[in-house]
Amino acid sequence: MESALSYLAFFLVFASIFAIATLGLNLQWGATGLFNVGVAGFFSVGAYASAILTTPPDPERLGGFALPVAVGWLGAVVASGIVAWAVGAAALRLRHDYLAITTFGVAVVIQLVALNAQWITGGPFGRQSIPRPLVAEIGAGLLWNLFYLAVVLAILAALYWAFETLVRSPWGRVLRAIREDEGAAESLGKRAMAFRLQAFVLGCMAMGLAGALYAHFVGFVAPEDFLPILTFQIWVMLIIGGSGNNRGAILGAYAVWAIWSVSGGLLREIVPQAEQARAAALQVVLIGVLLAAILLLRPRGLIGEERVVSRHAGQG
Amino acid sequence: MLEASGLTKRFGGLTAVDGVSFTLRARTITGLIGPNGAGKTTLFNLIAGALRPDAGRLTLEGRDITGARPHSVFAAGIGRTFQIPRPFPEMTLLENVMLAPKGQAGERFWVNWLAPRRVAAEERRVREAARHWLEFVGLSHLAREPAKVLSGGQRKLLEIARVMVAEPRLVLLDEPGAGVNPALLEAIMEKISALNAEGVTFLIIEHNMDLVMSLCRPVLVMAGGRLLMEGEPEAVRSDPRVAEAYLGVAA
Repeated sequence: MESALSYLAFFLVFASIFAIATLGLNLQWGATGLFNVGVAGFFSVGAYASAILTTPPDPERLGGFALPVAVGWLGAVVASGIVAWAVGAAALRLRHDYLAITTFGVAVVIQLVALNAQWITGGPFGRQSIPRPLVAEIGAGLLWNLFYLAVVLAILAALYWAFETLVRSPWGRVLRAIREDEGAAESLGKRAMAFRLQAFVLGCMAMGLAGALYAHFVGFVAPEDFLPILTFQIWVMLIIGGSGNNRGAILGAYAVWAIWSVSGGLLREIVPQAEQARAAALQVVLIGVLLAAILLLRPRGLIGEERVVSRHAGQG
Repeated sequence: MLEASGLTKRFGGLTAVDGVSFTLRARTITGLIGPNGAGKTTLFNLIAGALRPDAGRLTLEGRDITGARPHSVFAAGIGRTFQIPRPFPEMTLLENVMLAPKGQAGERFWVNWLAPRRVAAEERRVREAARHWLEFVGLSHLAREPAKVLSGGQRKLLEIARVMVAEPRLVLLDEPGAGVNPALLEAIMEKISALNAEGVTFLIIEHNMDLVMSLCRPVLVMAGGRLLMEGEPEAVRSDPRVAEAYLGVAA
């Protein structure tokens, strides 16, 4: 019983962390139409930033600075925001398909830096002993997992509220106008580039925060945690859940992570030990088939985009 | 009010606007006519900032706006509509119009988190203003419909409401009468003179001569990228150069 509960908490923490990243992607793609294929890169910037800020000092590496975990999370948001701003200021001038190529390239570069810049990231071994908040007070085990789940859920709820407020605000109205006809929006006094950059940076900050939450749950980060498959997973979560709908983004994260986890568990049960490494690829195949099925049967996702009307235009 | 001197725009080997100079007086409705390809819409795009002139200068009430980007031209008080209307099709009419007012605090994203009451109060004002202008153009019964349901003529009216809600001092209208049925055209003309009486200056591209003759004073005539003449509508109508520009040189 306790192990089932423990596993459930474990599962929900990961799913909720992915939901935070998916909300960020939804602000970019769903609300603004920005094709960001570098999710894993911004996720890992947040993870490493928080790790560097909070781990105990290490003579061979940058930091750690042994700062409180909350400071690490804040630092993760700031760091991923700065990287996003630098990337966005250059790449958002490009048309959609070029933004995709650029962000993909940036994610690959970040991964290579993580692998090679040993004095910052620890190279292939990653950064170890990332503190788990309040673990001394609560004790490791189920209780701490539940505590961390509560923290992640609270952050997810706050972020949902924050982004939902934005999408239905005058700011969100400008984003919709830019998405529908950028030239017309500019003729009405809106600086399209500035709004797109804001949406891009805010979305990447959410991804960075998700990365930090991941790092402090797992306790260490290494480059292979942030492969392009992570970007693929977050995208599938958004498309299956329903792009353009924040509740859809969250639902998609839980649904896809459930399928991913269950299929992984089944494969471990069914497939003989020697073949397991090869069978793991079936997980990706399964998710790919699922994605194709959703696109054919329910192209708008589980909960599709509604006509979003800014809050005050819908009243009275 | 608006002064253009030597405005020039080239596209490759074609000089679409060729050294055009004119002055718009405040509170007038100036017509801009000329055969297709004369450079009228290009001239509009130069004034509105959608295109950057290769040469020449534009000043609005003495302020240099040459080469300014569309959003800053709009901020300076010049609104424009498009020859083929460009409403935001998936947004409701009300939202189309609510988008336009300048300096909305809620367009800064953090204000929506930090001062929601301020945004709410502002949104109520913006909504009332948008309602007023939808009423003005006779579209308030469609306020909650997405703009894609509108006919061509209604789209032109929506664009007028959308521009006027931002209280521009100069409005550029690109063929407000094209493809509009006569009853609706009558309505549009009435709206334009009513706004003009309140002090709004207009520059109107139009092929419908009834509209030009009854509303516009003076009229600018363009042909082949150049300004052919400027004058009262009657003078323009009887000028042989204008007939020649439209019909080609008589043998």
